[in-house]
Amino acid sequence: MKIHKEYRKLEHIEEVSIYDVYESELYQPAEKKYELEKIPFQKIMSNLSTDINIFIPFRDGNDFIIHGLGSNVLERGRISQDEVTGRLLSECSPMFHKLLYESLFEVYKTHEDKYMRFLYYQKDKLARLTNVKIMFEMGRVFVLTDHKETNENTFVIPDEKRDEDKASLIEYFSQTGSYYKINGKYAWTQGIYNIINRQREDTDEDYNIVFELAIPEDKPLVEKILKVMDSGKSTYDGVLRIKTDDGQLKYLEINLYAKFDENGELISRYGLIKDVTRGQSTQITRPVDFLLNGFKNSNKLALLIEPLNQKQFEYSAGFYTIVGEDKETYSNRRAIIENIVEQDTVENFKKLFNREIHELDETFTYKVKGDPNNTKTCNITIEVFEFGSKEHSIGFLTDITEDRVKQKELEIANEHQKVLIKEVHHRVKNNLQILNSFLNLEKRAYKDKPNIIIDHMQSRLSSLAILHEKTYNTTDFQNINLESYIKDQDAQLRTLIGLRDGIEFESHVDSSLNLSIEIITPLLLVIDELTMNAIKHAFPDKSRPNKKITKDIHIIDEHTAQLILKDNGVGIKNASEISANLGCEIIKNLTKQLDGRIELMHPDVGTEYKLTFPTTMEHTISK
Amino acid sequence: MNERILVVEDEAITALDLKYSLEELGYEVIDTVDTGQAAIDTAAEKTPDVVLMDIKLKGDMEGIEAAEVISEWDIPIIYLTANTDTDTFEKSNVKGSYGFVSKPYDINKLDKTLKITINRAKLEQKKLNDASGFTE
Repeated sequence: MKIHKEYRKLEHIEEVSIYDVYESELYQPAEKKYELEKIPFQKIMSNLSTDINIFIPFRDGNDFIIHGLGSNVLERGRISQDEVTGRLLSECSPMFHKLLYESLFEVYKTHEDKYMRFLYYQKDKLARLTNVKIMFEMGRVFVLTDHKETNENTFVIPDEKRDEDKASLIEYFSQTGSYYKINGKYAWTQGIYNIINRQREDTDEDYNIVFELAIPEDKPLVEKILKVMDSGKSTYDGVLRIKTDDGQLKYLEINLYAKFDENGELISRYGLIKDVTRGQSTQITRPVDFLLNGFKNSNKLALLIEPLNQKQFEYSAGFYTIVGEDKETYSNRRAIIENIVEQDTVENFKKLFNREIHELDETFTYKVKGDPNNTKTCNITIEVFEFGSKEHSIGFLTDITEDRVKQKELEIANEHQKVLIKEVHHRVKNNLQILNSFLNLEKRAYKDKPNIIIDHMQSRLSSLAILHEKTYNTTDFQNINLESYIKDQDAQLRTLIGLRDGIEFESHVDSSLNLSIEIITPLLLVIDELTMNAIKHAFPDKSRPNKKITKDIHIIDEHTAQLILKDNGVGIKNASEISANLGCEIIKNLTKQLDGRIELMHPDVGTEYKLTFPTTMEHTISK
Repeated sequence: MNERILVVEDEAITALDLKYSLEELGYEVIDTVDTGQAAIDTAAEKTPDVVLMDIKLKGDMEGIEAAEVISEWDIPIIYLTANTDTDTFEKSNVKGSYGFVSKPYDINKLDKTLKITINRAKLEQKKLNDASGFTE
């Protein structure tokens, strides 16, 4: 057996030629060193055309334990899985150990994928080709082998003209090809057809069958390449993206060479083209693609590569989501950003284009498809920088619509909260003042009757406490429903007075009556005062049954409401008796505060007060 | 002669208590009103020695606005208010304002503030009169 290794720079692949290896040399009996867990999905894996061979590093890569080999590999070696699993590679297959050890060790240490190609020769005749990919995953080294031919004695190449020729054979499987252009005619190698994935056609000599397939974004690049190569430049290296007829996007590494005569006229052009897409998945080959790929799932943030370059710009997918347009609509239009931003921003763009400024950071509102009802708030930043003696630009477009809305809501809520706290503080202090003033007034009027003062103050305190309790969770102090206040006030009175004096309290309140706190506060205090008067004067005979104080509060018209408070007591014989007392003075003053009017009625039974008051009141506190 | 005070207060109970408390201390409460406009009108008509002014009032005119007008007539203003935040204090600290008493008030402190204010106003008036006499 003879082995020859060579590194193919163009393809970044290690090619190993193996001469005259026989079946008996592939495997040999070896002691089973380790009991390993069975590989899951063995049955499925055995049906794959690609073999998955798994090796476990042994003593930091000094050797490798075979965990499992692919079905094609086993079949060709005429050996079973049980005969190889748990054995050291060096003992079980010295030949594969010799072929693979260095590469397995390299991948195990670097964790970087490695590509190899094994060419098996028998008597200088190519018998088999195996493409190999070595990867490291989950502590194991995986060797994926793809055998283009499974008959170990014959190797049939579809185009019989080429079947003896190694170069052509490699070309046949290769994703690397070349072309010449001489006297205006093109000549294409098989590798090119492998790349573009179609058969030869007679007209292929008339045009560039690869550049023709360039995706719209790269058409300007093709123009540039051809222009550059025709103008005396002898080489060009770059990456071009094409879309094959069957719809595959491929990344091609292009190396062009041109020859010119002494007059500078183009004699011939030679192109070396390599498919660097690597299989089905899109392999990122350019740093730009790497960056763009990193942003592909972001719908709120878009990366803008060269936004100031009119031809060579690329935006990540999020850009099209943010602006609400298809990529096709926008991909080749000039100055597309100018279409979405406001006039002020456009002016700044112009300055940036003219390099009057070197960076831009603007927030603007964008009407999606011109719809004024569908606006987005976006932020755009673009920076110009120098690299490799050329000017470049990079930018970001961020959709901050939701952030802005949330921020605005928070600001409003915060402002509202501040106002509310200020308002509550004010009200608490004001009410403390009212209670303090009540106490001062009571002390003057009832110097030697502390029990009366306590009764009165307790009742007022309860009324103001109801106000606080009810407005604790309220944000709107201007539309407070009165009914529940009065019900609560009744409940308090029952607890404080009703049970002790045997008086029943009853209320009927118009449920649609909403009042501002500026009205409710004096109204509750008036009701308190009138109720206390009734308790004090209406029922001199404490033992009489069915003592009752009722309230009826109803809407009279859009701006007026009325309170009727009555008792079924003894009534007032001489009105002047009560007009001089403190209670009466408080009632008069609170009525004045309400801008209301109070009347003493003379029903057949008991006493009745009628208070008419406006339901709205302008007050600087409500501004 | 008793010092004459105009009480501008929209809370009826507080106004009533102020009236009695101040009268007990020997002041004359010339009126209690509850709007800014009524304060201006009454001050213009009765020229009190001091105006005791609440900031939040009934109607659409705040106490500070009314005070700005009244202070033009060299009538000293004392704010008596539950609004003790910095913004309100800054706004109220204008020409003509002599004091700032917060609610719920302590009647002794209010009395002292009134006395200082009245004395200071008298002094300033005297200086003004003397200066006028000198220049004449």
